Amino acid sequence: MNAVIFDLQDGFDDDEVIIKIDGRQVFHKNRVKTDLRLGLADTFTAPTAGGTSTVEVAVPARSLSETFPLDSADSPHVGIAVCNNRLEVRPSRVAFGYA
Amino acid sequence: MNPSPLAQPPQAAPVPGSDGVPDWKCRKEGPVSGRYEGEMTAPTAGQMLLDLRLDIDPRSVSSPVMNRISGDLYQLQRITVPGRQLTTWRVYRESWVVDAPVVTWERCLVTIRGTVRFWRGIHPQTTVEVRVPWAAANPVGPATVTFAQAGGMTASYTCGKKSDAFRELTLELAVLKSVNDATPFRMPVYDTHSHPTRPVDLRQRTLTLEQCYLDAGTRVTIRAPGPTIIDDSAPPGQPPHSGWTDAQLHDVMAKYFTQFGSNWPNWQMWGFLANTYQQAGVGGIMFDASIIPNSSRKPNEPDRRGFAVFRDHEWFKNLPASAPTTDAQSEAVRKFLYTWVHEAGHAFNFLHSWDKNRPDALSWMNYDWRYDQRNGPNKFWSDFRFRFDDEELIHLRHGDRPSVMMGGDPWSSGGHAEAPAAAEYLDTPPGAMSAPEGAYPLELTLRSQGYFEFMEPVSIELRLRNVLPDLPLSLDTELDPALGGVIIHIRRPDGRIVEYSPLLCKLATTTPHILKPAPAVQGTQTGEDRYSQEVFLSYGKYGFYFDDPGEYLVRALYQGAGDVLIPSNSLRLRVGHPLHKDQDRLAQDFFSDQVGVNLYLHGSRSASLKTGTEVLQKIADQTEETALQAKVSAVLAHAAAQPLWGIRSSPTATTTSASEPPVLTLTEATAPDFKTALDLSKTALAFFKANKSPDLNLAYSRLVRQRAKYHLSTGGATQKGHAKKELASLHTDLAARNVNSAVLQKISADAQAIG
Ligand SMILES: [Zn+2]
Repeated sequence: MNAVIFDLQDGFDDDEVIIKIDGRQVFHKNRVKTDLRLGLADTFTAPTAGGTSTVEVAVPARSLSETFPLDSADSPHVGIAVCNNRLEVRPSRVAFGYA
Repeated sequence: MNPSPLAQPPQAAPVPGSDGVPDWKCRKEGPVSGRYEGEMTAPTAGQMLLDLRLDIDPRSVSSPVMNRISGDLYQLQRITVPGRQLTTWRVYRESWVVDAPVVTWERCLVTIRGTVRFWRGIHPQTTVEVRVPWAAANPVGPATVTFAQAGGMTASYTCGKKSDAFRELTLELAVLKSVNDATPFRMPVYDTHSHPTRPVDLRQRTLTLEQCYLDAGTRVTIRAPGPTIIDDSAPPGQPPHSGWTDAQLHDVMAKYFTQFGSNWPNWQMWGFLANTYQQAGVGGIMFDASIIPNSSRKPNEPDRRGFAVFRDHEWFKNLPASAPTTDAQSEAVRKFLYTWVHEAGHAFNFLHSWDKNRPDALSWMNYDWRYDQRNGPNKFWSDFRFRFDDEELIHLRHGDRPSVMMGGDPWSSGGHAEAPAAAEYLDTPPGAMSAPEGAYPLELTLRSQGYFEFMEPVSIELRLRNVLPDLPLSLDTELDPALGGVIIHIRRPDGRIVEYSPLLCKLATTTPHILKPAPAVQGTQTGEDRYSQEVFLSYGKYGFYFDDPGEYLVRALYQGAGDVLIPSNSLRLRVGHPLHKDQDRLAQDFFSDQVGVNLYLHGSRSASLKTGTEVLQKIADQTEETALQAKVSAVLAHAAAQPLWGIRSSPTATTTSASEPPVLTLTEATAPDFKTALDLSKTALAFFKANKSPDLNLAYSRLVRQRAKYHLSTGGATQKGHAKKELASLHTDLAARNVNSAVLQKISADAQAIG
């Protein structure tokens, strides 16, 4: 089975975050808040069908949303951050590290 | 921002021999830069002490010059005891920095001049001149320092050179036994040329945590004899604990860090090598921060004392037992060094580079992958020169002392020496948040419950304790700020620091109180070495002080007879949010002078405060049992038990002539109503009995004493019995809460006196 590890990184401040893969909701939390010591708010693993999927990320209260294609074989790790009132997507082949 | 040059030559080349002094006599032994320390010489010799940092020439080839000077000022305190060594201690007052010093080099002397910027408080414009001479075969210095205030006041200091570093710190290490058993503990040692990805012109040298911090300006000494090995052996067949949480890391620090119970802030740090963090992606963390929800932290605990590094993180998989032989091993050692330096950096109050708007900084405080995402693959390690960026170096070397020192300002509260003092700090009184250092004779401790409900009256306990081992002290122990012997500062949730101003300034002749010496054996306290008083702080001359939900920091300065100056610990407390809409609405009426004065007077039946009393009655009538309701009920009970006095012209004043004033008589207008007082305080008594927090002990004792008086005043043998029973019950409850024997004896004595 294929899977993608999502890391919600910097810029979250008690936000509601919803993530869907190919229209199916894989994450919904209400109070996502970045731990400034790490630049990390939350992390979770979502199964995917393999190949290229469509990922939708939304922070409704700030009217932020982003839709992007993702190949889980190519980028099994995805960082998502709120920067300058925009959603930033950071696909990665390797795991992110925090300190 | 460009990195600063690694070396700066003196700005003016020495002029050879024009003054007749041969060149060899002007040979300088080492840099001028470093730490100097010395006492005030004028206007009052020995009154103050200056810790001075000069950063104007290279300390070494790998230590950039920041071209700043800065210092910390302390008040010096001494007590002479006949036949004994002088007892001295110092109290930190404030720090300052010169952002743009003008440096003039001569052959045997450097003069540094500039405008002083104090970090906190309001000061007249001040300039400073520092002169540092040198001569061959002698240490550089001493520095003579003269501050000149606009208006003509000057102060001078003579400071000898103490170190080439600007600050000194002791790092204590600990390691889990399971981690140490797998690979014996070894701090990172990295050869800067061992990995091919590096700046082409990077000098080859061996880096350790100590060397990296020495480059940055702080001498780190690792506490002997070596790391504490923490036994985490699990029952046979089970793996040792892993997936550490912040709370667990904090608890281990509390148990094993030998300096945990010391006086904070302090230049002490604790570094712990554990196996894994609760989130597997985390290689290290500065876990000691009050912004993190963490049930094991006491409400007034300081921040930034400890950090952890996680040995089983992916980053350190290839760590070799000795020198690395492959790129993968070198990379692991490099990351291991990075993590240690980075986490200690958080304890010095550094945020990450991107949180300071410097995402492209080549600093220990950036992440390699974040830098690479913006600048290209492998760019971080191709460009990184194993240093902090300039702004961080300025903070570490010249920042405001409490914002740098471990256990000082909370993490991420400040730590930005590069920015001008934040506006919220402008009215911070100097020394408001300092701790005594050295052999001080007295200790002032503030205590209170950690959490207050919204609108709940805030009273805190001030406790003065003799810490001399063998001398009784006769002291003015009146700790009420209205009497002037104690000054209280409150830092509000918005960062503003205000001085508590009492509603009334009382004048009283103070009776000295003898505090016996501290007992030689811990745990044998009878309480005679200390004196406690509860002080009401909710309301004062300028209104309510705790009227916003959020975190407050309270600190007191005891200024007893003479020049004694003892700062207290800083007490952290939280004020909650309104419980519901009704309470929010009630707040409008509550935060009024009518209620404030009422609470300040601990209840009043005066007709002029009737509106305030009605608001309090509304709260007392609420059905839910809260601390707010209990305390307000106690206030109303106290009011009911007071007689109300009136002033009347004497009806028998027949002799009054036009030229004489009428004779006035004080008469009791309303008699005290003890029965009502007892009824009103019944729920409060039940509340204090049920809530076993030691923070409520004083309020509980006071209420029982109050009620004993009401019982006795209503007369009768039954009432006497009630008073005795309530005192006995208080005794039992407080004994169970480990209250010291002096307090318990006093309660027994009070009960016996009833007869
Ligand atoms: Zn960090």
